[in-house]
Amino acid sequence: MNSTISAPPKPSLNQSPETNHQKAARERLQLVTFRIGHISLGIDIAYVQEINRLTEVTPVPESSSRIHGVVNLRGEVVTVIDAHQILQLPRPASLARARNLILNMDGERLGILVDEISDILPLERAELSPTPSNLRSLDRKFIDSVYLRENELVVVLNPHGMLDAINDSSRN
Amino acid sequence: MDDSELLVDFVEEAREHLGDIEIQLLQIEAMGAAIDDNLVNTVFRAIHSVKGAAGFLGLEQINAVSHRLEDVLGKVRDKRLVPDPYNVDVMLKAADRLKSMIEDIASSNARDNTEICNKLDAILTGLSVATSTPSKINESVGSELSVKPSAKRAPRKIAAKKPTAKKTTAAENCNTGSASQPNTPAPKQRQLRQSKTLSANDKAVSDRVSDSLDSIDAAMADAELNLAQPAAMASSNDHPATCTVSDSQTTKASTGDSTIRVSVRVLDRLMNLAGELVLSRNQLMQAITADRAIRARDAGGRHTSETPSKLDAIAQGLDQVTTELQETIMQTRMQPIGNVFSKFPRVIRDLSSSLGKEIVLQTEGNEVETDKTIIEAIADPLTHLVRNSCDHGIELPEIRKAAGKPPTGTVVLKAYHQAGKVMIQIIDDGAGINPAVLKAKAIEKGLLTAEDAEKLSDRDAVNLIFAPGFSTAAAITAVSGRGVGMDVVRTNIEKIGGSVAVTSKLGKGSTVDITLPLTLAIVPSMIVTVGGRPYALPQSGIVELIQPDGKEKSIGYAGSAEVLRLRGSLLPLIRMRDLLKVRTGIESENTDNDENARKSNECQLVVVESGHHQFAVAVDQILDSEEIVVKPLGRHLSNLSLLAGSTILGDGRVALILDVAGIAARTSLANGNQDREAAAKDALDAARTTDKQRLVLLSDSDTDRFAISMDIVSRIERVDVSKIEKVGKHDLLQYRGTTLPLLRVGEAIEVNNVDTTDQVYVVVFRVYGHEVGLVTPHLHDIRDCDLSSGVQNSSEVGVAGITVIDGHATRLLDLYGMTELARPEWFSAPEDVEPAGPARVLVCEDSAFFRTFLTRTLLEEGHEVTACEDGEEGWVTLMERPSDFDLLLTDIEMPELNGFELTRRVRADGRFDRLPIIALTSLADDQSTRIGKEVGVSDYQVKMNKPELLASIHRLVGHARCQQNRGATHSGQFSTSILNTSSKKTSASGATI
Repeated sequence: MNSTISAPPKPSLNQSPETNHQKAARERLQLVTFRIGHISLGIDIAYVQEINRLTEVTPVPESSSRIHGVVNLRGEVVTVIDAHQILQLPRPASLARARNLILNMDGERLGILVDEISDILPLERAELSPTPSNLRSLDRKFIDSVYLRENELVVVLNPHGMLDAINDSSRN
Repeated sequence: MDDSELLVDFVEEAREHLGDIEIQLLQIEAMGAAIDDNLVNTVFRAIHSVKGAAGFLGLEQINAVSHRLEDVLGKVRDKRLVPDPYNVDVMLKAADRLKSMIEDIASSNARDNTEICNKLDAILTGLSVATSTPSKINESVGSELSVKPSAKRAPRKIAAKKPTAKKTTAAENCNTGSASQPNTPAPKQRQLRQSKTLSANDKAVSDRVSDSLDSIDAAMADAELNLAQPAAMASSNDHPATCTVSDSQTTKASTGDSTIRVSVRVLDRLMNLAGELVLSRNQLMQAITADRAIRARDAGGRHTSETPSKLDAIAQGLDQVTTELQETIMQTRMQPIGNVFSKFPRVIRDLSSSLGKEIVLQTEGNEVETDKTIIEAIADPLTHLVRNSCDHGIELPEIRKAAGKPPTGTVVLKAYHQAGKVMIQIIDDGAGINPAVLKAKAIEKGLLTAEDAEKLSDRDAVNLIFAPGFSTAAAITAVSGRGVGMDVVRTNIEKIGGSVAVTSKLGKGSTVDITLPLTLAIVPSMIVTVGGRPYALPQSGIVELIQPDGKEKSIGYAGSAEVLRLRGSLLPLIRMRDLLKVRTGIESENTDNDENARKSNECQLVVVESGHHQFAVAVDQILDSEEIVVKPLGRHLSNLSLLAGSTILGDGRVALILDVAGIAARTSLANGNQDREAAAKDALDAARTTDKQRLVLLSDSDTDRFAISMDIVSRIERVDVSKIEKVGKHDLLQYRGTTLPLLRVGEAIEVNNVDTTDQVYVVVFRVYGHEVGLVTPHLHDIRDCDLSSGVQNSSEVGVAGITVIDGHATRLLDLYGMTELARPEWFSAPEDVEPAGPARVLVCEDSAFFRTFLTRTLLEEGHEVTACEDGEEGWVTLMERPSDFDLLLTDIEMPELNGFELTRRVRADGRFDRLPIIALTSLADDQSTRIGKEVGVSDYQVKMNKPELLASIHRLVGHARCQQNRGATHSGQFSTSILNTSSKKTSASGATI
């Protein structure tokens, strides 16, 4: 329950990363980077409320397979999405380094279980590259852009794309 | 603070000002010429504040209407206008208009209020109030002047009559007077915030003139609350120099009710945090315990320092504070039900005029509090029900007079607390509901078949109004027929965990009873585990908890579907493990536990009910009952039919709340009715092959083990010892809205020792119409036991016999005998059945224990008994002495010749046409009843149910004798045979008694 990172004041949520991208390529942003399976991923820190160790997820019967379950976040029951399932990545053998990344999207909280938190990456928007067309294994709609860090590719997730994916699956 | 914030403030404040205005105006109307100055002043001030602020904020239309309304009220206050239904109606309409404009503040300036303004103006100029004569006005003004010679009166009156410009001067005037600050600007909302300094000055001034403490307080309150409405303040006699001190009563009220608006979200957050605090405390306690264990080991088992106990005390303090915190936060959500009731005087007033009826409303229990959410949710259903009472219940005055009732009908709205619930009653003294009409309508609408209607009691029939697709209105009126049926009312009430029912007396009136929970946020639930995870099962859906024996003998199969056999009826059984298909996530360390649970197959059963549908669910464990706080699930999970939300348990785990209705819907799809019926037959056939008694095994301590026949047990509950109350020398349990008297084994028979536990089991059974609970600390099992051998009869009263079960000597309790010993008063009541005198009874029973038990029971009642070991022997005895018996009492399950066969033979013999036959059974199910009827059994009785059995014997024998007396041939024989057979107690069969 100890949050290792506290989020800085959020920019207005009305501005989605897409429009920012068009408006000002020089705009600075911070990526929270983490690992799921063998892939490095990043997410705009504006969406991240906290990172904690709530990895004991209570499964919810009959929920979408893209939902992992729920956790108790200081008295609030928060849905945790199953990023491994959505991105079709193998689950880790150990949960020792796993963390729960709590996103806050327009007041709606969602958790993502990640295998390991890497660090926070400050960069300019211009440094991001559009999603390569040959990116295999990950569904393009979850991905906003990519960033090359010392020969390592960081895939920047689009949380709204993830949310849509769950919306679709829980409707069925 | 910008304009939009000011607007929000204005809207909230105006809502408060206008909140009670309907009631107040109606009160003013009711008082007529004898007005209550305080009341009128209050309303006047409220409207005045709205007007002032609206003018400041540029809300012209609100200002225009409130201004005129204020003037009219001013006229009323000055006794120049007598409130009558007409002008109060206009005032109410004006208030309505103000409310609607305030609710849509943005477009308020675009509203056209010419009509209402003209009406108000007409009242002001006296065009429509020819009744108030000039002399009356003079008189009232004169008298007022003589009573209250007020220096500030005149300018205020001008302010009240003339538009806003004048009012500002009055305000300035007032501020100067009160606060000695000449340059106070015209009243603005913002100024209110600075008023504390003003009031401090005010206080200084007041002190100097050696004022009383009361009036200082009043002045302060006025300075704070009413700065924007100085003209409203009436000057008092004591303070001719200041205009701040108005009527002290009203101001005192406003100081007492100091409140602050807090958003519900903040409260919910506080609630969560308090819960989190409890969790942290628990973790602290665990850490302390672990720490202590380590230190104890290090210290080589020696007693450790006193630090832990200090920590314990701190943790305990923390716990208490936290609990209190949680309760207090819950309390903030509570609101008086009067908030809803207050709108009904207006509703009734409008309805009575539009319906042409005379109706008065009485409200009781306005102060009863319940959760804000419930208050909000109940408003609409309640309005519907009240409208219904007025429309369909109360008759027209002529009809009432013709029926000998007062022409004015009464509707009573009553709220009260009962057994942790909030009850609301809507009582009318109208025409009542005619069950026959409702039945006819239900048949016509195809809701009911004629046969079903025939069977329906009147009480159930009147509740047909809540059936979907049913509307009582012969013609749809504007009042109640708006397409919303009573079924919607019921649905809405049930949605918030309540229930509704109606009772009615034709010609006398109807009463609608609504039961509501105190709060929606807390639901008493049973925590169960499935697949190692906790789930909450709301108590409202639980009928009983059952612990089947390990072999699950009571569970049978109907094709693929499992069923539970319970006291003769069969319930579909759903295994929650299968239904929930508990997925194992990546953290599946739980698999070990799962496997263990599966291996030991320790399933426990809960009988639940949804609608009229009862079924059993199998869970791994039943943990505890807990009052849980409902937490909503995220929107991606909110549409799951099996779940009704989630909660957080004391240890921080999330428990999902099971939705009984959702589970029921699922099972009715899975199990066809035919399947279940087939299963019922199979299971019953299987059960019939052996004659076993289903026993509840319980104990007070290791040395005191008891068994009770399950056939006479209504249900078994587990309760906290703390819930048991002591009244006089007896214990009571508050239970489902009534009190359940409790009995302990030790009260009737000798008990060595009674273990103390936090929770006890209450075995509920009925004795002569009383429900009684037997309290016992331990419940071991419920299982079928063979009592045909190995049972010794006991001479102890209250004990039917002694046997050995699981290697323990176990006393088989005679609950009725025990109850009679412990509560003789219940048995002194005269019985319905006139005792028919001693009877000669032939008993056929293969179990020695029961044979003895029955014989003893009957002998105690003064009957004569001849006992046989089986049907064959009984038949032989009957053949030998055909006229020696008044009644045959036979077991069904017997070797050689069973009870049914015996009955068939007896009935086939013409001599025994009228011999009453009572069949003894441990399964009072439909099928054996049917067979019994076919072969000619007169009555069915459960073996251990003494009072019922004895009553049945009296009844049947009495009846048979009446018939015999009519047939003269038998009567003489009968009286002599009693004498002759008195020595035949030890029967021919040689059974020892």
